[in-house]
Amino acid sequence: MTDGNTILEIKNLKLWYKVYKGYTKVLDGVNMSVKKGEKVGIVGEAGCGKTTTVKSILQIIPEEQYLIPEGEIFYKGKDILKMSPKEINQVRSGEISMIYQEPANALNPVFTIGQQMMDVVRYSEQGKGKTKAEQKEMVLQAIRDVFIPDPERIFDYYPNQLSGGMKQRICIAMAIMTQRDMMIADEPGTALDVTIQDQVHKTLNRLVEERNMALIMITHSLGVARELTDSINVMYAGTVVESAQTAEVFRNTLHPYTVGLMEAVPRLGGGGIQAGIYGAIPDYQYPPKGCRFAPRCSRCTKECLNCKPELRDVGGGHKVACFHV
Amino acid sequence: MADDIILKIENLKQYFPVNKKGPDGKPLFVKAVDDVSLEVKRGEVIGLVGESGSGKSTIAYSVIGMYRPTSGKILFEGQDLNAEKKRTLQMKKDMQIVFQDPGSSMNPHQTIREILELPLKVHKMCKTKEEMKQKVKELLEMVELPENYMYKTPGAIGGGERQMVAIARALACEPKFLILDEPTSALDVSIQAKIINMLLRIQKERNLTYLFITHDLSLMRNIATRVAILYLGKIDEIAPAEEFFYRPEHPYTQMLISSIPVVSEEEEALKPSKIESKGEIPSPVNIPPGCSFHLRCPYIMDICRKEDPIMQPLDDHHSVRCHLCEKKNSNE
Amino acid sequence: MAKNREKELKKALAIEAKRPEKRPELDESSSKIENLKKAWYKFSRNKLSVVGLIIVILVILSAIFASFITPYPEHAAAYTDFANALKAPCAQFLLGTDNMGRDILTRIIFSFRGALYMSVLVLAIAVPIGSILGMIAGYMKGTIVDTVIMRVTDIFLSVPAMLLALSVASILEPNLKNSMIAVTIMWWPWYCRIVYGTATSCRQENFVIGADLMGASKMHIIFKEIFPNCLSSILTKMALDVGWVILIGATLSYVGLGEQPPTPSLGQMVSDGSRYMPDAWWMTIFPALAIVIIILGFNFMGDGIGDMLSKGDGKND
Repeated sequence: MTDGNTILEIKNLKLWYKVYKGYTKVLDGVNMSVKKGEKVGIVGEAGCGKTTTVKSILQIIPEEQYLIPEGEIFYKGKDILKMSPKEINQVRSGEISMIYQEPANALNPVFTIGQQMMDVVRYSEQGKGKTKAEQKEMVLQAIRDVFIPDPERIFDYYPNQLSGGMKQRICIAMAIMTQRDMMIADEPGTALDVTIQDQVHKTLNRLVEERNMALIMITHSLGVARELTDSINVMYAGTVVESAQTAEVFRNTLHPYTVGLMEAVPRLGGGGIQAGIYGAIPDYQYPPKGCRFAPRCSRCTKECLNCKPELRDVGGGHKVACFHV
Repeated sequence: MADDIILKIENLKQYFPVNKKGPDGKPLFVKAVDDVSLEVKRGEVIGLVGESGSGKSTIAYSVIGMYRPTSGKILFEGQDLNAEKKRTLQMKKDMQIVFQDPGSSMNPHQTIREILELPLKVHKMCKTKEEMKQKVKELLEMVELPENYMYKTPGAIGGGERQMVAIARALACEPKFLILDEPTSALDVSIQAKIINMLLRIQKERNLTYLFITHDLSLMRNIATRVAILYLGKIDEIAPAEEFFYRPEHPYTQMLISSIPVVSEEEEALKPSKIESKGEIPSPVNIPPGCSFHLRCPYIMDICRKEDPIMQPLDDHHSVRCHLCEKKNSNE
Repeated sequence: MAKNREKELKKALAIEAKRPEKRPELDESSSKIENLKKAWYKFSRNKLSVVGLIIVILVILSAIFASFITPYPEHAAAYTDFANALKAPCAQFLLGTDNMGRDILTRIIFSFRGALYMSVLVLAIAVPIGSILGMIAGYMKGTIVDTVIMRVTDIFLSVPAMLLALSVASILEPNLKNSMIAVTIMWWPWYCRIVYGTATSCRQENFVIGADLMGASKMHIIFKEIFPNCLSSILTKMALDVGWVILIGATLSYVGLGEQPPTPSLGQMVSDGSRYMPDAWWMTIFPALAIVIIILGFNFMGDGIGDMLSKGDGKND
């Protein structure tokens, strides 16, 4: 299935963390793919493995903490899990960029914005061999790109002189400054106020589209995913349970978990809040044998308790991992 | 009915000194809450909405007694809470708070049982140990948690469950008034739904009054009876919850509503689409002169730069603080 | 590297195959046992902490049963046997003998008693004083109480510790009791400082604010809410400090201000032996080695206790 158009493909990825008395089986067969220039959302609740998935793409989990018993992550046709440390570094520094939920922690408080951004340019392909003035111009242009007025002044600021929204913009600027093929955004707006979140999302969206980058957007909010992405992967307890074009997910919601999630969102039109989903995410150290959503599912049958449903196409590229669809 | 009002905030001001001096040499203050008046009726769920730095939590903390107000009065059932230097135990019992972060609101070194027993001990609600244990069981049952949770520590249970324990603790001493400071903003939607429904059920059962603080307008729409929008320590607009979404008057309210990411077309239609959000909330140390919102307002007029608008009632329930609406009113 | 991963994976799969389907249910008593097991797991993850613990236990046991396990218990007192003076380590005297013909091994083991006795007493006095004052000052930060307590602490901390101990011990009669007083005086301010830091950060936590708003008394807040949170730093420092107190005690007795002869003490033995260096090297080297091992033991154990009480990152515990 790997055609030239697919930039990233995750196949049956499993990941276990080491804990006291055993392992938490956090990822349990993640399947997803990202096409060139596509904006893909990973939606799910806290603790369902969204961040772990993207961390394993970039291989940024400390080695002694985890095991990958199964799975492959193909980036441009090469398995990241089999790459040498040098190759992985090349991917991290030149191909995929990442922005984090907490902009405050992503910037070093003792260096100015300018110093930190100059470092990114200096070690990138484009910045090598350029004069200092040219490098600085790249940085200023990047700051201008994220709609921060007066880039010259910002260049000499320390991170604590900026508001949260500004810091996140700087992080975005750093991520798009050099030509990359893919960006991973881990809840970039969650720590910000709604009005600021809205602005940051719009900026991010515009820049990614302009540069034709692929985007993996992690979010817990279906609303954000709806406004920003082309396709959505809904994750629950370490598996992708539903995957389809964004509009399709909202028009024709199939997996019981997605349905429950959708119902739990408070609506602007009022009408009260639905009951939500019964129960909590499973104990990863002792996960359910069959479908991981079965203990919380209203349509659960014997089959669900014993077998794990595969993610299968139910027509038009709409994939669902459920026996009852 | 005057006695129906359980909490009355009169011209509350809460200033905090900062270690800086202004250009004129006078000490500067963070005006976290600047002249807020609010009446809360018994049995209602009043919502305070605003961005960070709008002073919504500060109001709650002043009401609960974490700070003494710089000026203004807080009357609870007609009694001035800050008349004496220290609040009585009874005052503390009647009013409880649930914090945003369930992680830090519980001592990680105590078991759930110890946590729930504290209010019972302080207010001498139980005579014997047996009764105490029974009461703890009942509290856990009320928030729909299994009994064996009382032996666990807060670190061993999930965020949603922790917040339920926090709610149980707040309700243990049978308060009349509960402040909820963003109780679900750190939680997932499915858990949020569960907690909100539980809170509403308990509110009906016990005829409680809630002061609900959140930044999430769509959540507010579904639970509050009345909503006040705060911006830089002042109330901009106050109205019944439904009215906000059909008739948002203040430009800031409109901006807030149009920024909410929604999940359906019907909701999209409810948004006032004209307003694009721009700018950021200024620092409360340097509040701009005139209307504090004028830097971000798309409808800015000359008067906004000079004069701070005052609260104008549009009808019995809906009040707005905006020059634009004053003008509209006079035209009509 | 890759091989290691494979091995680990095999191990993991084996563990997985054996695990029960459901997490075992816990009631009050079994959850306590489980907590202890977990604590041990965290402690023993670092092998050095286990080594430290073993050393500490051995030292304590040998101090208690010194009269039974040592070959010549009578050598711990004023005893002379010039026929066997300055014997090198041999089968009869495992670590050799000193200038009076006393067995070094016996004297080392007996000297543990004084060393442990001293550190336990110093900590038993310094820790409660320091922590209680620190908690009170931390909780009442910004008041006059805080200022008074912390300034007094600062004064004590600003006097060079050794100097204070030396002067106290030399003004009073030089013996174990007085050197203990000296060490205690210089020790409590450290606890006060550490606990003060934890308490001030605790005081801004919502659980303390919450308890206050609930109407709980100051006593409750200080001892039930703040104290358990300071416990980990206190215990960690205590375990490390036992070693340090022993070292200070050895230093004091090295200069003749500690335990008085003929009662054996490590510092005294090192100091006595130094006069016979390098010929009778065993007289100095073995007591010095004993000091090093004890201090390392307590330090390793202290690290382990720190690991055990740390909250961890949630993923690894």
